[in-house]
Amino acid sequence: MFPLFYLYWRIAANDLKEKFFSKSTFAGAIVLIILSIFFIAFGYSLGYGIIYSYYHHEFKMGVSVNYAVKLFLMMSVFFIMANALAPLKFMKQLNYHVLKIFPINTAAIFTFDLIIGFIDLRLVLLFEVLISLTAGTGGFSFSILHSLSLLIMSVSLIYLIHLTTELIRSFVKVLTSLLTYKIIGAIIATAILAYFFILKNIPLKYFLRNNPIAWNINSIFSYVLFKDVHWIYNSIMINLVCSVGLFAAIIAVRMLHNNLVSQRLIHENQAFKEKKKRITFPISIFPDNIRMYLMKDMRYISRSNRVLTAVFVEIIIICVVFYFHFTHSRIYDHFLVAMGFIIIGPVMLWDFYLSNYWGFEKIGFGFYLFSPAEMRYAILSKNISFIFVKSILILLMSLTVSLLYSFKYFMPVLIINFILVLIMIMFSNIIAVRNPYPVDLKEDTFSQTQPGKFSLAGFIGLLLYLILPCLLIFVIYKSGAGIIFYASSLLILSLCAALYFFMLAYSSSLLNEEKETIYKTLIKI
Amino acid sequence: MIEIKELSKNFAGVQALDKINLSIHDKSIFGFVGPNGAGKSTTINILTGIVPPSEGSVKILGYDLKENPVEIKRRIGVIPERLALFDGLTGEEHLTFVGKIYGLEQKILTNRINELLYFFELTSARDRLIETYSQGMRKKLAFASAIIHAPDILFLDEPFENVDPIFRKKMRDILIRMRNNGKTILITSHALIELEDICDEVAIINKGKIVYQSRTEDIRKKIKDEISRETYQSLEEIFLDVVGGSDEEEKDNKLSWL
Repeated sequence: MFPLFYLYWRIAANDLKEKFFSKSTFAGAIVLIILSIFFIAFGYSLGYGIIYSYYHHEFKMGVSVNYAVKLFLMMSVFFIMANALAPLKFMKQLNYHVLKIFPINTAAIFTFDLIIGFIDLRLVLLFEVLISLTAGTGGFSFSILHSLSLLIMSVSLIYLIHLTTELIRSFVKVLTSLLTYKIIGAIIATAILAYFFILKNIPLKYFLRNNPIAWNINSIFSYVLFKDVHWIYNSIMINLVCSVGLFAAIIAVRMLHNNLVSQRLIHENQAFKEKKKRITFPISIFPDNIRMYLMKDMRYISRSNRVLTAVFVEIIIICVVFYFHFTHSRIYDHFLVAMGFIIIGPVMLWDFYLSNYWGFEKIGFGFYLFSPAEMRYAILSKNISFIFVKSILILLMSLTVSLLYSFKYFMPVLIINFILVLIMIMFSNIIAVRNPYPVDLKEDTFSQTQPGKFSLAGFIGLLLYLILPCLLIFVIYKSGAGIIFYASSLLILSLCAALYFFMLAYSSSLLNEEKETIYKTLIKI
Repeated sequence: MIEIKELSKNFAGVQALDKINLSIHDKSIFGFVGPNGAGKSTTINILTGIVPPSEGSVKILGYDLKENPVEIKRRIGVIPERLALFDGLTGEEHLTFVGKIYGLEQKILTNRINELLYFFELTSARDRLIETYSQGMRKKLAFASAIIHAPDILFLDEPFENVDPIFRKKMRDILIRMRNNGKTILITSHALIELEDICDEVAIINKGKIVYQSRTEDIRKKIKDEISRETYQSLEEIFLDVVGGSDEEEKDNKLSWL
């Protein structure tokens, strides 16, 4: 395994050498420093807050300490989600298929991957949070030994989270590889859920409270509130034992994938070379000069797993709106809550597609450099293909909201959604030029490898995206879906449409300027 | 007609091309050879508008490359080094897209796609995504894309790499047919025997400079030096003589363990 560490070290060193003096690294370092300071201060204040409210009941204002525990549980769940959904690997250059050429056994490659994955950027950020938690509780530690124990516990917890998410991802990879496994996976998952939630009637909070991660968090509170250190030691032991078990499970699942699924997939690929079904879209209604781009983009959008994931999750959002409406009527039965889902959910989902849509064309982007392609139409076509897919979802969402609340909301939801779409595309046209990165069609949002970049245009776009619909919802809240709403929303819609064409002209000139740079990035020169 | 005057390209301090002057006549196949990193692909990239030059001027079909890039692009076909294929499309979809960009009518386009797929034996793979194609199939598709609109000038960067002998022969036949029909073709390649066979003229580039240029029919007549009166036998001999390293003998003494 030593040569692999050497290889990783050289790649990381060369990468750092190149990026060390770049603006983004500098900005990233500043952000990390600010985050560190923030999290440590946050941890301290939270630690003091908990202990103070515990010993001074008059400051609790009816809120029990239990809420703070729940808050931490939610935070940890959030970070596990973030961990699973945004796997930005340091070692993305170490391709398993390349490593396989060398005389290294598969288990060694997987073990190396699991060990080195520990310094993943996301885990470093998670480490920041846990250090802050340690700092918060550190204010109440009674000895250096206790502080050190807390630190060891935090590190072992991060590794446990890393291994848990890796196991989930490995399982998902196996289950999604072949249709047979998908069906088996779905049946087993349904059976398990039905057993616990229907037959045994065990509530979800039972699982949230009884797992190693929750025990770790609870042990910190036990330590802070009851000065009970033995739970810290217990947690370290639990983490170590679970880590060993998870480690073995991951290697086993990956070996299974490598030996069984990969072999079969290769065989199937060579034997059948699956033909792509031709899907027809009503593109003949568009002018000639845009039709050819649209033909290509509609196919890309229908074949991209990022898009499919976004569509899938948007449908889940619709189901969630339904679910909350029927099960939590007292709190959630309000039009504004549904609108909150409609506004916030999609912007996060579609960002992964819209911020880098040139990335899908990869090496094909070179064609634009030597052909008489017109980039204005190429951008317009990407926007139209997105609107086409999104329109179906918008219609579905508007109908859902209308059915649940009232049909008087149908048009307002439709208009607000189209304003959101216009804002989304006009800014992503610029961000996509500034943020090229080759993307695999099979790459879904949950396993995307695109590095995140801060963009001022994106930030301004996000502000507009949140402010304008909120203004309109406020109008509905104050004066209903009447004439005032329609007048103001149509005014905003017209302004957005005018701004869109201005931004389209700007982004196409920007794209023409940046074509060569984008091409070089997409082919990784 | 392609006219290149004082063409230079500088990449972050590296002089990739150094004041190149070249004239390529109509109705000819022009071979452009040189060792790796000599500047062949850079030249093609500039001529096809992929990369802008640092200095110098280029005229293609009477148009200045800086002033009329779109008009030139409409009338040329290109197989770039990295092929520029849309991996997410099927072979047929890619050809349709390319044909439409070059303004071909649907009826003509459909006929040409069918003929090209048949000719290059890609018919059975027409509905498969390009990302599943082998290297040879990708090369065939890139070649089909480059000729689908019957360009006046064809630029080919390493066309003979990763192709089987059958396709290589087909490609040669097409190039000769195109030349006979009045088209101009510029090829860069390391396949010297192929070039010697089909090219009307060749130029050798080394370290960004043209170090040799001749009509192929004159190659064998060329006298190596005035004293020995020795003659070259092939383009390969000229190539090794012009760009071959002076330390070959020293290098032969290395790798003693083999």
